[in-house]
Amino acid sequence: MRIRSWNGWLSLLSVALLLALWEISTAWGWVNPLFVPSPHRVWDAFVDICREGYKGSPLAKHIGESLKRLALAFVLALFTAVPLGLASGYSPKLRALIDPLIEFYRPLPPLAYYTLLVLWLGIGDSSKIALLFLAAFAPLYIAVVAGVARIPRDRILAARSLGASRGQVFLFVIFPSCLPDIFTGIRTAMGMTYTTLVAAEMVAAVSGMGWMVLDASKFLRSDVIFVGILLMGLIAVLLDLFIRWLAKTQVPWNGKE
Amino acid sequence: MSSIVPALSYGDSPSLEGERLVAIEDLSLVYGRGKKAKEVLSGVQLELGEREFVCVLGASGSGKTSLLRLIAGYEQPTSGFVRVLGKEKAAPNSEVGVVFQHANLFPWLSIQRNVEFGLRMQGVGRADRTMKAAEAIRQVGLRDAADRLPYQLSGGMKQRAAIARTLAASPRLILMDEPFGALDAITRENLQQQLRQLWLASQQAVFFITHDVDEALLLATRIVVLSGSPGKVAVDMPNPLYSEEETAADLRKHRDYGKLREQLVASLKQEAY
Repeated sequence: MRIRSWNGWLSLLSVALLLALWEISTAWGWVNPLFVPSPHRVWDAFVDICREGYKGSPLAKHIGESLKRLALAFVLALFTAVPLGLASGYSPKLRALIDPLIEFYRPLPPLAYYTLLVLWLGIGDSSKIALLFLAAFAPLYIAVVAGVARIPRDRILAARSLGASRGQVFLFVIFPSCLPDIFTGIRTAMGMTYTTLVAAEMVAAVSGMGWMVLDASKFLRSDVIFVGILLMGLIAVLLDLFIRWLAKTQVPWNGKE
Repeated sequence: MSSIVPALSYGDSPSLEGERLVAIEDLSLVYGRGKKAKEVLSGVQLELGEREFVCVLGASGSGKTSLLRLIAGYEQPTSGFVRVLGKEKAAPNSEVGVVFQHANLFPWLSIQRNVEFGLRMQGVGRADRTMKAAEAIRQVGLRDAADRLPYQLSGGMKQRAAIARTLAASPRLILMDEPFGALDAITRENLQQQLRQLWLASQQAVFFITHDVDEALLLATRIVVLSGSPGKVAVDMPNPLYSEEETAADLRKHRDYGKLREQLVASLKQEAY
């Protein structure tokens, strides 16, 4: 316990040192304020954007737009990748059918096929959601298939010897056994999706955090860029903490079997 | 009409098969094919009747776990017959309960829900299964741990929960694969005593695998020794020390105990390498 709280202080210290370095380098004129704005200018920009919004839309709308795309795509991926992954894990034939497709598109940089999606679905939200869906699908699917493969054979046999049919084994043993892997998949997929989201908004969008940063760069508003980047980082950390909290409360047995 | 019905039910009528829950004839089991083929069991003959507690003793590699898995329906024999409850080549089902060496509980379910699992799969209503599971949990002395998750329990408690889970599904035959093998000596002795009490109360047929001669002498009504590689039945005899009253401590003082123990250990070592 003591050591852990020490580590917490160390983490705080490194952040504080970075902030101090930032403050000093701008205050003493080591860097051009046009490219690196001082902390208080970034703070002012943040307060300003909070109050006035950016380019006619409030900040909450930019964040909301981004998170809405993320959430829609993610829910879609969750409801398709998890059942399909469970089924593929259970049936080698199904896996043989699906795996080559996944293996081919998974290593592709999402922005490479984004151009195609925009061509097909237009520049609006549907192409972005399709892109994010694809980005989330592969890591989730792969995690679930691996999860099924790791289930101890004796656990399935025990269920059969207690009278479970094959269908019941799937629903009451295979699925809950994979929950820890599903959460691992969700974390990986969330990282992938978030990166893709910001990139997609920078390629084509009229709202969202990625767009805000790109737009600000066109006007050399480095303070707004800083605000955007810091916010993105903060939201990513919060999302990850949320998923970890979910995993901890939903699968408390994970790693303790 | 009356002539057809008895003819149809002849094969699996409980009164006829009642004395032989398990009949194994000329069984052999080979893993793998061609040059890698390894014969695990060869020419095994074995029967198990109602109210029997058969302990199968064997050194590691004698194929005793394979024998259990054949009876459970997890594997099929390469040749010969394994007839369990009148059926051949039966898939795993709730009439044949299995307790594994590692408790193998469902880690996401509380002990209560683990014990209810079999009843739930069999479609038993909530009120009924809660009651039956609670009774099984009481029998193994885990009432205070019913709401905990398996990882919060010690090894011995987990194994007791696994036994309760199998009992609650009310199988006609219970298979146990070295259920106490991974426990420390004191816990093992406690659980042996408890299992003995449970068995004396229910007299349910048990097929129990172990490599521990003392365990077999304490629990069994009949002792079978598998030895050699591939495994064969070297000894199949009623346990002369079996009695309903004696505890483990009394048993060890029995004048034949030492001699019997030595004989069994010798037959275990025979042909084994």
